[in-house]
Amino acid sequence: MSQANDPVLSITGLDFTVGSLNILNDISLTVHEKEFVCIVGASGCGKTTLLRLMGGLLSPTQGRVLYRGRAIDGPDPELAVVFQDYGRALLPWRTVAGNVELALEARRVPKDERAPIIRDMLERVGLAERADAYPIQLSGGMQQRLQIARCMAQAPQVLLMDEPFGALDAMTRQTLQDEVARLCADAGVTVVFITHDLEEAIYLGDRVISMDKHPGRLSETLTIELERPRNQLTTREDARFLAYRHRLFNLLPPGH
Amino acid sequence: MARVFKGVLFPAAVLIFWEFAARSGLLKAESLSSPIAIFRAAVGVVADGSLFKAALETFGGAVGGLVVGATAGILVGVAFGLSRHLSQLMRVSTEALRPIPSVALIPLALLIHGYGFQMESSIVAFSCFWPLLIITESAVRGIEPRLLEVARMLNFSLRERVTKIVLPAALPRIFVGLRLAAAVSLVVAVTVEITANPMGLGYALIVAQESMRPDRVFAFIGWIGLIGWALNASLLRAQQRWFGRMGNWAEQSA
Amino acid sequence: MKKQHGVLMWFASLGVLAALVGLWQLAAHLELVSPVFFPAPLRSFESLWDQMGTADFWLAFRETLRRMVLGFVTASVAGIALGAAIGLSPRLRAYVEPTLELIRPLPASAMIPVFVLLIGLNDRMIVTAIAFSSLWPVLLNTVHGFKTIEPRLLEVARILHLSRLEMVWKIALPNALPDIFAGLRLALTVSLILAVVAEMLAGTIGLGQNITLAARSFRSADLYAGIIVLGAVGYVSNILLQRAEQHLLRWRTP
Repeated sequence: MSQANDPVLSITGLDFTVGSLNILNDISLTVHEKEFVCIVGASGCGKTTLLRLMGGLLSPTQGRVLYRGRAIDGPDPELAVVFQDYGRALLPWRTVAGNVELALEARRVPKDERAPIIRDMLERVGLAERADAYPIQLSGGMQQRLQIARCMAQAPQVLLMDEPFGALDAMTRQTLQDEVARLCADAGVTVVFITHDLEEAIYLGDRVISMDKHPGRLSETLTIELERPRNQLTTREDARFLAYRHRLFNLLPPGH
Repeated sequence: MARVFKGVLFPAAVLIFWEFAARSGLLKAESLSSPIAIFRAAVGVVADGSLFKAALETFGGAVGGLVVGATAGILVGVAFGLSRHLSQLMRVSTEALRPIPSVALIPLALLIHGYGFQMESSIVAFSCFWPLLIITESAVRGIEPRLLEVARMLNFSLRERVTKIVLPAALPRIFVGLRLAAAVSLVVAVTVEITANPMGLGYALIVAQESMRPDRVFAFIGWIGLIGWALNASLLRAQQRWFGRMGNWAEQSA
Repeated sequence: MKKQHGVLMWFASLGVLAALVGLWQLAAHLELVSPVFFPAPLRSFESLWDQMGTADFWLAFRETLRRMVLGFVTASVAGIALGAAIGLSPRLRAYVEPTLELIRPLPASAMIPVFVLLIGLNDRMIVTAIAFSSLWPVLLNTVHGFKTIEPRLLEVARILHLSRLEMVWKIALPNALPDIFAGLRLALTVSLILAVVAEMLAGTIGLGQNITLAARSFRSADLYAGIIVLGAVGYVSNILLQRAEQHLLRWRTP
């Protein structure tokens, strides 16, 4: 039985080197049950690489990633990855419903049990009306929602999100931020969220960890003590929010 | 280095097996010959001048047809590209003519011209016309509208518009079409020669087949392939040299 | 509004074709063109109509179509299966791809003399030649379709722990379909061309033979009728393939 503070992901002494380039250096991180951890850093600091290592898509040069105590040696449906380039992670030849169904097929959910689950997922992300549309007919925001729905349909324990809203406009981004916060809280998943947007990180996270670059290294951790559910207007104007923002701004390199 | 080795391994193995099979009687050498005999024949046809003569004849037919067909295709393509109405009015006519396989016109060309260079060029011209028409029309349609507005602003005549703006802007893609048409012209010329015309590389193939010389058949096939490859490679180099420097514009079009 | 305009334009376009044919008819009637080389269109249509009433015509038609379909289907199945296997395996590709690239520029009809030597001038040779030549466009395009799978989708497959078979069926194959269809379209054109050429060479019953004989006896109306039939075969077979493609690739167009 998992307790509220059990480590879900545990990384110690992680190194990642390609050729002579040291991309990540001595990364240590623990993510607890149902935590929403945001990792924030400048572009090129290696955050995507770190996420891919957590998802088992890459193998560390040194150190290990432990998922619930056992070492990760490859990708796993329980660690769902939400990619930044959502368009390329969707199957263009399947409808919206069909894309969600892919995750259920992988879970070996019997055919006759799938329809209600798909409907539920699509309703949660607000795509129920577009179940029969093809990805190419959807806007960017909707495509990203579809990817999130597919990932949630995997019934994951951990959601790894790689700058999921980076390619979207500001308004869509804000809407999706709230949706993701709500979705994850409802589903009780643990989240690691990568972004270069300081305010997004503070807004969404329980903890925000900043990352240096050359080589990538985790520096400071901020525990965010803002109440949930968060609100785009009031939370962002809260004095504590601004204080966190100041802290982070000073931590990250100039020109960020 | 390992990559080159791997790529060569498979064909080398096939050739060795072929040679062995031919010598041991596993394969009918009268029908399929053997790699070494083919190689000797390939050298032989160069030495006795038959390759050169045949290639020249094929080139004559191919180039003659290419020039006529490509020019016509480009001109009509420009016209269709500039005038949507013209293109639409001619839609059914082009759709009716295009599916006709060029080889079906061989007996007609024979009827009109008899054997020889003209008959072959006319079939080649027909085959080269279509790809260039389609590509040129599409290239002209895709010209940056801003450039056409500049032409209007400067009060260019139709001829000036075409020569100073339309053709240069569409040129990279047209060149790609020309590369395609060049390959087509070679293939069609050889096909016409195989089918009906007693000249050129295709006819050399038929002669070799009728005199039961599979080594010469394969030798000529090899030379045809090599010539085709060399032609395309040199055109590709030319394309990269002439248009490569112009950056994005050429790249997008190609 | 736009659709009505489109339909109107199509009719106008049909009218243009009718007008051009009418002009030809007039020119033939006034003997402005040689009746042997450019017979009046009405005579050609008449010939077509008459021919379609004979059993001989339909026999020739069936024979040509049978060879074309047999060759095309064989080549397609083999090409897709082989292409998938090669495309999915980087190891196989390293050995086989360079050889495939060498074969690409060869004119399809150039191999006919080889098949004549091996099999003779008969029906089997024709089908073999068609199948062999149609194989390459399908194979090459299928390899390309399977080797260029969006890497992100492969990662999704890995994350979901899809089995290899599931990955091929649910991700690789749909991804490769557009390329496969491009190859099939090329192969269809090649099959028709090879059918005609091989028939002309072998002298067997078929549409190719029909037009050759018509040309030899100066029966130009019959010749034109035969050309129309071949054009129609090309057109209809292409439409059928297009329909299949549109149905299977519904997801492409927004």
